[in-house]
Amino acid sequence: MTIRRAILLGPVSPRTWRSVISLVASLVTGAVFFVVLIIALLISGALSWIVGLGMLVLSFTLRIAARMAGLDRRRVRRFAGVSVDPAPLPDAVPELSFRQRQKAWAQSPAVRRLVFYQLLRLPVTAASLTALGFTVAGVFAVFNRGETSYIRFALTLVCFFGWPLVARLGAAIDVSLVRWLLGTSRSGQLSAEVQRLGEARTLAVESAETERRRIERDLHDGLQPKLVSLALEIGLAKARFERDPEAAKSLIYRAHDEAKTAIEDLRNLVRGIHPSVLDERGLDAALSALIASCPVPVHVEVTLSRRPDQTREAVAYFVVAEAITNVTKHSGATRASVIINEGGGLLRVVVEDNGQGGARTDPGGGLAGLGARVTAIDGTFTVTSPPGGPTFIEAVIPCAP
Amino acid sequence: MRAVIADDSVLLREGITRLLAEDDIEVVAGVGDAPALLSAVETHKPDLAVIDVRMPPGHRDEGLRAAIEIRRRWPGVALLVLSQFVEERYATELLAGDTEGIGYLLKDRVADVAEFIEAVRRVAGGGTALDPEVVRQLLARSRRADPLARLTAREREVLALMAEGRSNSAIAETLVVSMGAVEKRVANIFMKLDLPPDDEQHHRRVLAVVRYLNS
Repeated sequence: MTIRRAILLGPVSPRTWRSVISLVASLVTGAVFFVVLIIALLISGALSWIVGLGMLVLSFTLRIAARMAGLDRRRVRRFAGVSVDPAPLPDAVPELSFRQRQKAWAQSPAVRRLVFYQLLRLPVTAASLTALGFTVAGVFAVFNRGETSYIRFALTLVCFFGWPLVARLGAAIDVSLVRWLLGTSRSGQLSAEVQRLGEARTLAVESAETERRRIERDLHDGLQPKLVSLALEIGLAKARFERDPEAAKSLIYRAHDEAKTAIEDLRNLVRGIHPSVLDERGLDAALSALIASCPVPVHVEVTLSRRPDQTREAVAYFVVAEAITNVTKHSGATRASVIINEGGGLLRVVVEDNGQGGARTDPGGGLAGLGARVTAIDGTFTVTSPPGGPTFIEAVIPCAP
Repeated sequence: MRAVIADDSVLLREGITRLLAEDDIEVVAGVGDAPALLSAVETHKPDLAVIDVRMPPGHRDEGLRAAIEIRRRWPGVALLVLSQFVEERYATELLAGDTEGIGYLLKDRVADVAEFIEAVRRVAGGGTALDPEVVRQLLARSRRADPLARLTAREREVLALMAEGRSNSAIAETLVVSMGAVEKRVANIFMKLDLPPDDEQHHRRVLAVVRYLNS
């Protein structure tokens, strides 16, 4: 039913006419590139005695091919509704010389494929349009001079309903060429993914190392001297116990206070590594102690229908922890908010304050480490903190439903 | 008075035993995990159980669960829950039934012997002892930010001490003000927060404040 309908309405269907326009546009672009190519060959042939000119012309031609590939992808999206992701072209690496850059460009498989498309599509579209031309001409067979026969009538009928099919077929061939040669290849996608994963892994390992160093420093610079000083005070008190009990007493008082501070420091340090309430009761419960330690009032809103897995939960928690540390230490804010919610398989954590901004993701800094942890689990991490504020920190973490 | 202590650290168990002995509280059993605690409570029917939250085998919140279980099965046993960290959520769970004879303190507090003993006595006598840190979390997490903002700084201090479970005379002593001044502030707080008038029963007063902050 639908097929019959499609054939009957073919000559007036917008899709048919879009196919025709797309084919004509493709032929024109292909012809332009062909002319460019001929001119390029002529120039480099005629002026081959100028050293390096050939390469210059080649790289110019390749860049035109790349520009045209962009036009072709747009054409296909506009007329066929097919969007094709561009294959990544070689990055411009500033350290490389001009010659090396041109070489990298010319050797890139993606560049080769798009040149191949430019060369291939001219004959292909020309053939499609020729076939279309014959079919359209066939429509007028019955009107030709001479005797009207049933065969002629049948030919007219077939061609009248057949030409839209020819146009669509030609356009379909062109679309698949664009997809095949101008889109990302499967292996290209995979190698880009492998590269991204490799980078994420390196960052994750680095951030774990940074974290270990931070814990080592906190223990070494914070807690250890306090315990040494505590032992020293008690030692002094012991030595003075007999001859100066009053002095010993005040030393013990001081040691008692120092011991309590050391315990508190240790508690904060351990909690900073991993709060056990996070595993036991989840994000919402774990945030209470965090925001109670912040001198600025923090509005908390956690809307989760179920708990994310422990890894994601911990990353989300530490995003908030680091952001709150930032609010406490640097922001000068008078209020802050923490919003955690989920939707579309994503866990979203947003921390905002009304402070003076200027939060930066310096390498080795807390925010950069967090970014690495979020990226390592395929999330995205954004810090927006213009000078003068406000600061907006967001982590979006994919969570399998 | 007779007490049972549950903590997986022998060192701390002995320390707390000595500390309680100073005040003539007899420790009838010291255990290292939750099942042993439940059977010790069943055997000895103590007046008080001092319980660490994190105990073997899971090292999670076994102590808290055991405390809730003890309250359900032997409501006459006063409970003092100690922990390396205090959590507003655990406090809420612990106080869900009632606040009579319940304490929840940071372990560090044993270092201030006199104050710790005072908290033990308060809990054993049917009162409440909430750690200032828990109260701070309750205040920080409260959805009642606007009414709380209407309190003066002094009234907030009084509110925090009230939530810790302190009596008016103890509050007066801590803040170095007269009894009358405290009573006046307490009345102000109840009025500003639109709470039913102050109940002289301290545990009910804690319950009212905690429920208010939590809702």
